[in-house]
Amino acid sequence: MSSSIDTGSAPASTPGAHAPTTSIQDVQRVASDIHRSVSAVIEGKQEVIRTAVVVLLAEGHLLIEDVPGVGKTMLAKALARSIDSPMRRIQFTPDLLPSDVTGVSVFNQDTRTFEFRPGAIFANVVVGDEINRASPKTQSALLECMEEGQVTVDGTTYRLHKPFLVMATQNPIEMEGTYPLPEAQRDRFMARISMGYPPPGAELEMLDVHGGGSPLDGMQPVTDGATVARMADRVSQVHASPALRQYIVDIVSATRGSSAFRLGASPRASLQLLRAARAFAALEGRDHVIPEDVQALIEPVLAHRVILSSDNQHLHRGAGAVLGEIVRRVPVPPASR
Amino acid sequence: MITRARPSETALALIAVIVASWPLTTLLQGGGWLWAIVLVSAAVLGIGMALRAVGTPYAVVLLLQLLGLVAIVAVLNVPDHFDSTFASAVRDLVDEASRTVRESAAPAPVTPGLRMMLELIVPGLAITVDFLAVSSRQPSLAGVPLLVIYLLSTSNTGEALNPVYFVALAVVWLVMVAHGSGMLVRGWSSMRARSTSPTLLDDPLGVAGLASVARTLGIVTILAALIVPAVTPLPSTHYFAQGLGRGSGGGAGTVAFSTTANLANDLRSQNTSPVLDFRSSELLPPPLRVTAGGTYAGGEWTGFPGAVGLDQGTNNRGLPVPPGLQTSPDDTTETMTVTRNTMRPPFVPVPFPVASANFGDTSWGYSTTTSQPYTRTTAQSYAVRYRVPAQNADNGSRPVDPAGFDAELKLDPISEPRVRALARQLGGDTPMQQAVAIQDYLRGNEFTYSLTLAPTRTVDGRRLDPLSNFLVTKQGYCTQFATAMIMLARANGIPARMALGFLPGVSDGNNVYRVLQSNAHAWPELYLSGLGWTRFEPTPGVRSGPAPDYTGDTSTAPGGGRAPDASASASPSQAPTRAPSTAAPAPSASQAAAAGGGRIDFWRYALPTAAVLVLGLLGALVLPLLARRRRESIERRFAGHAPVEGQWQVLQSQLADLGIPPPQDRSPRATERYYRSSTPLDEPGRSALHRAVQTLESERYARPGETSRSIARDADRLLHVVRSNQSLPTRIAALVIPQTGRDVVREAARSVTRWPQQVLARVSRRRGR
Repeated sequence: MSSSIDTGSAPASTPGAHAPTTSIQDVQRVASDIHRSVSAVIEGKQEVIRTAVVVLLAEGHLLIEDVPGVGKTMLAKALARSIDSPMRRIQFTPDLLPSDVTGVSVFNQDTRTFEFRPGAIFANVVVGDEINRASPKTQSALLECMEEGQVTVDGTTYRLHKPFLVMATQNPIEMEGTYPLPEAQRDRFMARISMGYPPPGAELEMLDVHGGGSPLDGMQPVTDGATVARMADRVSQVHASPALRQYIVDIVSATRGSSAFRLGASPRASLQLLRAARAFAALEGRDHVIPEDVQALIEPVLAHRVILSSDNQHLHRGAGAVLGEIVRRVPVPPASR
Repeated sequence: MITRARPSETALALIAVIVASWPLTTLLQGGGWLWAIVLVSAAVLGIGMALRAVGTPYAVVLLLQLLGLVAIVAVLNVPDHFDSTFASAVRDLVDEASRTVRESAAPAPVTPGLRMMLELIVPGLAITVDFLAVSSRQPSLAGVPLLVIYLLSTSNTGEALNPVYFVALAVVWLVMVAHGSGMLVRGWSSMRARSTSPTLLDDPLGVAGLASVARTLGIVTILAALIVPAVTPLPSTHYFAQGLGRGSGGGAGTVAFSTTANLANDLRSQNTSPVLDFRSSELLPPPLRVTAGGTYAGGEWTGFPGAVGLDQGTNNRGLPVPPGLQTSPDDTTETMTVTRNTMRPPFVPVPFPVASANFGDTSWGYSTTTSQPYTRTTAQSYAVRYRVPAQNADNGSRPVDPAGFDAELKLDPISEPRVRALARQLGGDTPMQQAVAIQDYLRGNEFTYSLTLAPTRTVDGRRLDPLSNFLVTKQGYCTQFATAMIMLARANGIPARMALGFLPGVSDGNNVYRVLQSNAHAWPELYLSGLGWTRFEPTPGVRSGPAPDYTGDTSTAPGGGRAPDASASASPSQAPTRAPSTAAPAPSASQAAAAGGGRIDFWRYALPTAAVLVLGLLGALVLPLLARRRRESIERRFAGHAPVEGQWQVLQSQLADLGIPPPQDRSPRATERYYRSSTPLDEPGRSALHRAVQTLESERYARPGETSRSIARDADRLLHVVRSNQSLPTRIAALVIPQTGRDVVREAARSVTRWPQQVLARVSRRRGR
């Protein structure tokens, strides 16, 4: 793990230098390679994989809410393997300390200096399993890292790797003795998905193919972290026209005005929606965002940020349905006059 | 500068207006007015040319032309009244014009008032033609106002218009259209840079979109005008006026009376509307006269006296004895009581000669020359006493002094030789004998009563005039018979004049007679010594009733035997007793129309009808023009920064016109799905839609400056496909009442209705503060 200490010099971290050489077509090709590679491991979850790739390219973080055993960790591992990057897994427990996540300075007897021992966070792909089992203090340590992209221990700041993707999982069923993420914390995740059970055919095929050993064993990387970081830079330059940005603002404001929500989406949601939409457009090989990109991402990006009003009627329908209705209702603005 | 003025198109427009006005010559007398309207039209078109030359906007050109027209007409017609009397002078002229068109049938005399109206209407239409054909460069549309002038003529002459008028107009119109197209085509070959949509430059109000429709309509109209009359049997003539204004139910409206009689026309009016009901003390009442006099020229009687030079009438006071009538103690008077009179004033049907009258509250006057009363308003009911002169052997035995009877002795020069020869042949010693001989001849076997005239004969290579034609073909109705008798009497030196009125009509058995419009009649009055003006009845048979008693004693007169039919030979007795004749009141049998009085004044309705037509046609342009303007404003709004967006919105509005409402504001791709699901598209249509949507999407969302494309071609292709899928009514509605135009109107109405609310809100807000 000592090789991970030189975190500040992640390859291809100088935006612009490589941007011209990375075309949108390159992004699309690489992204679809990753997608194909991951789909070979996770059966029948195209949408989920797609959202994961989008979040990867948009430099966001992913919250996976689901019951155990549906392949959350497998997804993270497959993604990490595909991009040929180190992956760390943190099993969150109530006694997990923040320093376990971030790392700690240890006194080295030989050199008589404090030496930084990086925590689990120093990897390209970090899987935080059952994040709601850790104490809020530990949770917030993780979330701060996610937000800042750096770790400060004993006054020294260490940059995290690039690309940096946290995939936190939550079990929504067993709530006993857990610390569910408060709304403000959930807001830090770009998207929330739930894996869901595989379709029956896919599950059967899974048994046939992967019954012998781990499917990850046979996986070959399709790209490397440096390329992914370059691609992320390129994605951030995808064009979003004024009309489209207006559309995003309209939709996010509509969640705030809707009576179905006790709490609407935050301005951070607008920002993340735009970033995710850029990545989504790039996956389609487009250098500009269109309303369809936004619409496809409304539910994964916004659903975990809003709080349904306690009205039974709305609770029953779920945030996704209400958001879908908002999408249908909010007009797509034409070009500005 | 010269090109901008468009002199050749202007000249063509002027020629077209002149040609369209040409058939008006069949409606109006004289030709001076034609020059007047040509010059005024030329003047206003000249104004337009001059204004165009200096680059005036076309709407302003139109306005200034109209102002110029009003000024010119004012200077020409009321030059002495540019002061406080201006309005009243104009009103007098308008009244005169309306009187002229009301009281005269074609050809009408061109009074100063009528001339002013002509100078306003025809050049006004010339301005419309100029605006459409020259300013807007849509000559095909100019056919509409041209057709208005033409229709004015066709609808108001009782006879078929000579086809040459129509052909000439059609040719000029086609030349205009061809010239316009030629200008366009020549423009293509020039090296001049021009906008890709030249029509927009030349067509500020956007009438171009209608041009192809107008062209098609025009061609269809020409074909229909040539084919339809050829294959359909000739229906009875229905004037505009017949359907629009005339009171058809009994009693409700008034019955107008045309004081003209044309010998050349067939009589087809079978109008059975009642004119009046009356009760008479006589068993066989005489005809009811409305007017007498008139001058005959060119086959037509005109100039019957109206209510002019009247003496004030007083109820029940004795009226002067008619000129020439020698009263005797044996004279009797009879009374007639009229109920339910619907005759339009000033005319009032009464027997002749009236001894005294009671018109109740209605103010009335009495003409000493025609011995005819006239009322100011319609007298619903009235009573008259009329003289029945006693017979006297001396009556009509001596020639009268011709002095003062110039008009009543004037012969029509064209038919004069034939008339004089026939008068000589009929002979007779005393004027009375001569008159009876003429009457007997005309009532004789040789003549046939017919509402339909025989075709005009040609003698020595010349078409006969109407009177000669009647004397040769011996077929006609009361107007022809009366005219023949008048002319034959005049040839014998007997003053004679035409009387117009009604036959007594049908009795209901209780001695109440009902006079119908179809009872209109014409008869001659001859001036005889001792009798003065005396009614004769040359019209034979059942139609006209018996000949007057006093004419019955000269049956031995040479020339033409007595008519064998019972009515004509009725009451041969010279006795003053009016024994019940063997002939029943004759007119009862026939439902056919009667005399030349059947022509009703349609002029009165023609102008309002024409105005309504023009307004209607212009009204039909309003919605398309509004839609067009809306689209142009959309394109202008987006022209600089988002042209495709503008084109797209225009396309959506055009699709909405074609019955596919625009979706709510959706993303381009969603809109594409919407359109694909709401109308069946073939492959080219689908791909055109797809390309348009792609272009729109990249303009909306892609990096600016990457593309500057247009979806015009794809939009055209898509519209073509959609249009060909839609039903004809939808397509017509898209042209005439486009949704976009209706939306504009609706929005305008909404903003108007909201305005008071907004004002109220503002006021209350201020008050609240």
